[in-house]
Amino acid sequence: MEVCALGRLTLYEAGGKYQLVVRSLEARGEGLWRLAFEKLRARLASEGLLDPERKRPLPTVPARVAVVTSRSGAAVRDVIAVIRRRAPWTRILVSSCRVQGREAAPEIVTALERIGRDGSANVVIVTRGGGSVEDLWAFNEESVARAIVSCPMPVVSAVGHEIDFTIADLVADLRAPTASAAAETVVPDGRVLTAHLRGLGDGLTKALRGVVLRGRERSEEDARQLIQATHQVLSVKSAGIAVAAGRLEALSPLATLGRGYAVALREDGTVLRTGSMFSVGEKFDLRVVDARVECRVEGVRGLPADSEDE
Amino acid sequence: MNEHEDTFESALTELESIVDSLERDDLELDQALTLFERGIERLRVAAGFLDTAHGRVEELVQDAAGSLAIVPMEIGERDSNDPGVG
Repeated sequence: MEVCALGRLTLYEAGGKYQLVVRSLEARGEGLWRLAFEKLRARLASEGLLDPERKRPLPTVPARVAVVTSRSGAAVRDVIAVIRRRAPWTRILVSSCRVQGREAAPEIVTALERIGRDGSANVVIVTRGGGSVEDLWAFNEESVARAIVSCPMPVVSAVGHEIDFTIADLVADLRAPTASAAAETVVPDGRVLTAHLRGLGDGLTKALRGVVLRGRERSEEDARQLIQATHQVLSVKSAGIAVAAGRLEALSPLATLGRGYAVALREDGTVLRTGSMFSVGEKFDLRVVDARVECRVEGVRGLPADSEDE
Repeated sequence: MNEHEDTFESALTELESIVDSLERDDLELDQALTLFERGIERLRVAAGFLDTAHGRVEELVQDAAGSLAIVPMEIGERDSNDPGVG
């Protein structure tokens, strides 16, 4: 540890002794900071507050992200920019506080308490940009550590630069190297999510088409309406989910009819799929894209197996 | 907002299992249509969650009496994201 002392130095010639009467003493370098850091770390560790099992999982798709930082700092801008880019539907709730100086620790504590009391956020980012050990010190205060621990939702900390480690980082549910990295961790990549949803929409239509083609036709009108509903949902330009209606059209069973295919149906709705299901003289309907054509079986001739299907 | 998140994640999970069931299970058309309808509804919920219109920047402030309020937040010249709040 290094200190800077101001005082009077006296030499006792007889004994060859120096005496230093100190009037003021000030810590220099990082020695004292480190000592205080280690003491607090040990205390929190002894209470089990640093245990890995205490870490809470982050929500995968948070609707609202709270940010505890200075409203005028660079960190809040970084967080907003990243969330806007990755997950633009996310609401951001800033709880502003000073992040350095004497008032910083109590302000960070109350900013965290506000978030907890409001309760609408799904996850909290506590952050500030880089600075000296002294600048970052508020994040090594016990009161801040305890406020993070008692925050009702998971907390991600990002204090200083990548190399800086604070007590806040140790008690947070996750430590990120920078404010931008914290935001990246907290929100999902919107492109991945929308692609997944789009895939599920396609899968839904494909699967229904499969059932319709396999199964017994009964409520075609329902099917048509439902498939139209898919179009409506998927063509809503919501967060980039603009699936070309044509693509879905190609998947729907009715589109197959649009390409010139027809489905033969008995009056009770049964799909007549094979020759053996028809009997001469029987009436049936031919479902084409826009109508039901009433028909009667004149005769049935089997085909060679390889030319039977589409 | 918590129920929003639950809704998104549960909507997604249910949608996945519906697609799975439509693909694998040997369903009557009626059942299939009911499932499909439910799937469309879940898809609508999930897609609605990702509506960019939700994304605003707000500030959580406390008045002298100690009550909390959420107000729109301006953050300097780079804040072009919040034309109409409400």
